[in-house]
Amino acid sequence: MVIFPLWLLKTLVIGGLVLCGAGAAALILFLIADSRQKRIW
Amino acid sequence: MTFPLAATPETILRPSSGYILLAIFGIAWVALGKWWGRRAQSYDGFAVAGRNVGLALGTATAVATWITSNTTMLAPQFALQLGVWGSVAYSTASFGLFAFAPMSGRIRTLMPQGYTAVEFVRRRYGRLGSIPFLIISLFYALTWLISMAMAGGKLLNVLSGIPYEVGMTVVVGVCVLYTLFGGMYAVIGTDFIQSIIILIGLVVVAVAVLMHVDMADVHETLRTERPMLLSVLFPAALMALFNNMLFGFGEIFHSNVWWSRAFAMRDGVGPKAYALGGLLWLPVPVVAGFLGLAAPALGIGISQPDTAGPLVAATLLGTGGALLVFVVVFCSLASSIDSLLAATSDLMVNDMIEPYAKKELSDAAKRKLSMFSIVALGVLSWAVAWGNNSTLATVLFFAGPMVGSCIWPIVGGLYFRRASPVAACAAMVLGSVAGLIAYELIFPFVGALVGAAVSGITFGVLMFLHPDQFDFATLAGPKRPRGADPQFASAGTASAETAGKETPGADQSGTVQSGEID
Repeated sequence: MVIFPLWLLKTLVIGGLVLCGAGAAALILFLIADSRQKRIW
Repeated sequence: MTFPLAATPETILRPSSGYILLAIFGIAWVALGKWWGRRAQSYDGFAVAGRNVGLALGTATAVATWITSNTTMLAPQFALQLGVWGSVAYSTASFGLFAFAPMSGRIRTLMPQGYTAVEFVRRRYGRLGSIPFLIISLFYALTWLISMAMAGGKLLNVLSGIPYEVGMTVVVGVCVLYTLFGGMYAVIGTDFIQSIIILIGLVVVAVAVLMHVDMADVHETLRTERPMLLSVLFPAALMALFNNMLFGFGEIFHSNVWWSRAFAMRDGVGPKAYALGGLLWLPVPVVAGFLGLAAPALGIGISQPDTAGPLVAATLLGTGGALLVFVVVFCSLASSIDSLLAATSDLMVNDMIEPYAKKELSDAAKRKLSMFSIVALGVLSWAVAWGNNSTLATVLFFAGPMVGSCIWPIVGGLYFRRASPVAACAAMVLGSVAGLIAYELIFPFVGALVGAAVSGITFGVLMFLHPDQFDFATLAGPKRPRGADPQFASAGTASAETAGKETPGADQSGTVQSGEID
């Protein structure tokens, strides 16, 4: 049986974590940028 | 019914803690809804947040709405039952957001004053297309709403021992209240806060789990005890991969939850917000799914697979983890329930009540009807969910074949003049029937796949045999009263030649020209 290697599992999970963290940061940055231009709503 | 306050051996969080969290977040969401609701004076404000939502809130609302409690519950379940492919399969639902990104821009351009997806289908395909589409849309919206309400009661019960009926009632009640007060402003505003809490909460929980267990141990345990979960060629998982992707396309393309946001976002924001939303959502099922994969290595017994993720996190992290998971789950539930309440009430007002009203509805009347619809939807979902008589996966995936059959009629209707009412109607009906038969007789994970395939073939063949020559510019015009709109009288009766002569600008009455050519 061909199985997923450990490195791929690590890449998926760590990569996912990094993207989630970066996503939260990006949302806050977008909000700051929108609020400076008064374009939130 | 009893209201226990002490933790039972099966729960990690004390019910009293759960009640306190429910009270804090419930009051906070309702207060924010009331505050943002000050902006929602007109119906446009209430239904589509003034059509001026920026990138930050637009992206966040796409992420938060798509992170349902099913993401936090079913992604670990998928991983536990279908392995690594299960997590990846769930994350393919983000492809729907990527694909919808350009569509959202086109929707906004074609219908700058639009409100709902059904309104588009009615004006594009007439009654022939809008009846099956409205049935599918309502079925899906109610199914999703009820499954969210059930998930609320079930999760709060598993985590804190709060009785199912109490948790479900509070979750539904809070969402109804703040959506009622603030409409789309409240929905999108709270979505921003909820998405931040969910993303950060997920990272904290996953990092904490990684600190308790080595990934090499997880891999080794799976390899020796459950090798199929690591198999690259796990047939059921591969079917789930494509099925889930098509389910996601169907869900997003047809659902008014996504269309109403496309109408709400400022011109030019939609494509960016949906693409970024997809990117931010993509890793969530993978991270949540890892909690399910880690369960065997951690020796955590899972009696109910769809609660694997929260149980793993709460078991490992104790009270702090349980509190965090509780908050993340509550946010996931609220972000989806509020969206469904708002978007489905738009359907009820614009597509079920207004077309059949004897006179044109005023702005104030539509706003009142929206509020009434939100309450009615809340009561209906609460009443059905009270019984707690079906598993989440069954409730959710039963709608898969039906929404899968909407993919081609929507895409074709947005981009191809030749897409005709007959093709759209037949594609939705035949695709749904074939998909549901496959779901029951073959395997649940092929339902959406078969539905989309049969719908696509039907749509393509009939578009060739019965082509239309639709004039997209007519979609930009205002809606016409029912009696004056040929679409209400008979689908596809206006000729293409007429459409060519009465194009936008010239057609101030908003006549819809989507008839077939003989």
